[in-house]
Amino acid sequence: MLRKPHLILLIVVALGVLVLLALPEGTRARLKVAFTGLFLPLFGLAASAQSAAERGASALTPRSVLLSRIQQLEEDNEQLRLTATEALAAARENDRLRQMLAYAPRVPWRLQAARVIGRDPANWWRSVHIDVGQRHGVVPDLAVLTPEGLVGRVAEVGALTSRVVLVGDPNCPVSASPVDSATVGIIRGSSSSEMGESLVELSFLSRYSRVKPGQRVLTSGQGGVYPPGILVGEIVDARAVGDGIYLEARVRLAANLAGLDRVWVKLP
Amino acid sequence: MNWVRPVSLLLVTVLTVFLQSSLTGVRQWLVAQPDLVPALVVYAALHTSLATTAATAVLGGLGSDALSSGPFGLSVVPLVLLGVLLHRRRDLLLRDSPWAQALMGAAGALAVSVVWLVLLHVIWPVMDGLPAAPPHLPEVRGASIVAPPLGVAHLWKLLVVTIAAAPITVLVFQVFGWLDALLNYQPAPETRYRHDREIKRGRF
Repeated sequence: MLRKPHLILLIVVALGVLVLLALPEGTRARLKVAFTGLFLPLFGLAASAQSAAERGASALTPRSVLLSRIQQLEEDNEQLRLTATEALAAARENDRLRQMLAYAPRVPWRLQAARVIGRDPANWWRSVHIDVGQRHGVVPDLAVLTPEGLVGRVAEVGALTSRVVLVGDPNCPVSASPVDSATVGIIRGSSSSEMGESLVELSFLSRYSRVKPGQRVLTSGQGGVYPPGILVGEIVDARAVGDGIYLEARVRLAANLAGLDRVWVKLP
Repeated sequence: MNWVRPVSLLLVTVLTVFLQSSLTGVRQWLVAQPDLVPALVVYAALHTSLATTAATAVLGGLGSDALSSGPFGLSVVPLVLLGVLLHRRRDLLLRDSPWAQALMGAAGALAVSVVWLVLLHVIWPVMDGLPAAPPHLPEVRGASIVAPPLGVAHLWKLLVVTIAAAPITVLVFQVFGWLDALLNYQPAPETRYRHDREIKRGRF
């Protein structure tokens, strides 16, 4: 038998947790964000230490290395400017054609750079914390990406930080479609993709769809959160499941979720 | 100076949760993150009062949940259970033996993870009254938290958590023992001298 103080403590904690879990979702989320504020000074301290270390490292970098790096960046910049000129011409042509077909004009993306300051401390979820929040215009359900591909979506927003659920987490389904294929599937977290963050499963693909390894997978834009055309990854293999009713494909994510450092939030 | 130990324990708990979130080297290497909070609860249960043990478990649980995708508050339950059970039996446990500390840490971390998974898959769906996401709009938020599907990978994560907790617990006991020696008053050393055995010399 438990002694009286132990029993009282257990009852108090059980009641407290029950009340906490029974709160409305909005209140619970606000409480969670408020409690995250407890860690803000530590996150700030870590960011300051990291930037100080980076400054120290750059001060120690030899001049020759810096010059060659500048030269490389200038070459990259020139190449990108040429590509941008070409893309601009294509965009103008696209706008003209959309106008002729009376389609709604395409709205250019507004992006907010963010730095990853922490990861989910638990083993069972895939999420990261970024250093932008409400003050930077971030709201829940915005797409988060890197130049390589889709990262996830904003789940909770605080004043200065936000939590991003990564692709592959059970709470971050993505409606996606292989390129050159009319079929649309859903990327969800699965038990087989738990061993690494680079592989996810694309389920509910039509059994008549042509899916082959190496095929690129893009967001379909039909799920309600992500705009269409963001690269998710490429198909590794596919198999028929559910007695052959539909196909399930393994997709290697384009973005390196294990080594995320800098991400972009697509603002509304 | 009795407040030193509880305050330092609570500060270390907050710091531990933060480090678990910030330091990702081990996670990338082992594909699993060692859980440090159960080790702190084991120490608290064996060396501090019931109130401090409960405060450590509640702070550690809420801190982990605040930085995690899981339901806020659910991690508190297994940690408090571990703390209360160890505190209840602390007189029978070999708290000064490193082997016993390692064993308690490993068993405690495993039990906390297993109980948490059971709560998430059994209790949480009952508590959470929110509907599942509509099938035609799978990305839309506002639906209930989906528990991660259980698989073989979870066994590996449980194994890493269990094995890592053993040395971590011993380290926690060592560090707090050192802090205790540094910050707390130490008991006066016992002397072999006894007044009743003194040989009185001279005239009485």
